[in-house]
Amino acid sequence: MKHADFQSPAARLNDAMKQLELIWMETKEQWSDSVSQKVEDEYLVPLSAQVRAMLDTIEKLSGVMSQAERVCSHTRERGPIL
Amino acid sequence: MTESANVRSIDALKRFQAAVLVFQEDARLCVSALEMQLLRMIGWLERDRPGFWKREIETCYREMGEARVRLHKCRMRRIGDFRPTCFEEQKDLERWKKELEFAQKQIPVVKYWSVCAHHEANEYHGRSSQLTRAIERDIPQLLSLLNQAVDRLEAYGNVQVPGVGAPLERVPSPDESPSDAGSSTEADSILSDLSAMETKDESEQ
Repeated sequence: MKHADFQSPAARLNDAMKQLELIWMETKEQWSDSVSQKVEDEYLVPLSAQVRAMLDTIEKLSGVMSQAERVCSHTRERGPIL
Repeated sequence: MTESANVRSIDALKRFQAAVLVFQEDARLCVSALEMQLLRMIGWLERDRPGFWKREIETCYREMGEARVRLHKCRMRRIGDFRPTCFEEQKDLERWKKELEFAQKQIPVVKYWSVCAHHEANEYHGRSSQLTRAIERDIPQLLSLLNQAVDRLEAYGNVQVPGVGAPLERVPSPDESPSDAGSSTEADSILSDLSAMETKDESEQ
């Protein structure tokens, strides 16, 4: 049995960021001035970096937790990983 | 001199505004789901596992005792000169001894992985708190900036330009002639507001 699933929320977060970036690309075609530049530089670029760093941390966390789960389980408990 | 706004479609800004709201909600849900998974995993390591392996040790002792009795009974069994090998009984006892040894070793293993899991959880919390700050502080700031931009552009668009008779779709750049952009004092004032918005936000930070 799998006790924790970190990958699904991480994938959703990644998708949400990609979607926001995609819409921003479309918006930029219609909006190009100093305010739009500010939106990109001060909000979207840092946000994207935060999300990427978060995803890296989740990947590491997920690896450690999977190993902990495997090592601390009895062989008879190890069914198919969901 | 401040640069003028260059927006071809207010709807594009509104779509982006909606997308930011969707992202904010999605990100909140993801952070909350991750926290739940983390609590579940830590709980499993700290509360379920120690008890599980203690019960396993008890089971192994009980099974070993029963295996010993079976082996002893087997060795006592004699039919004439024939003495059974008791191979199965011996094998069974050895198996339970190995199981016991493994279960005993699992107690410190679980403790070790609990510590590792806590360490990773702390690292994760450091990172997730930064993202939470972005979701709860920076995104509302961004939404407020977008709201102001949309409000000002809409207000500008609603100004009736003499001789045109329809709301403006685009805020003109300063190098356009006054007749292209309209000569309304109100429109100029809104345009000036929009341009000043950035300066104000910068000075606030």
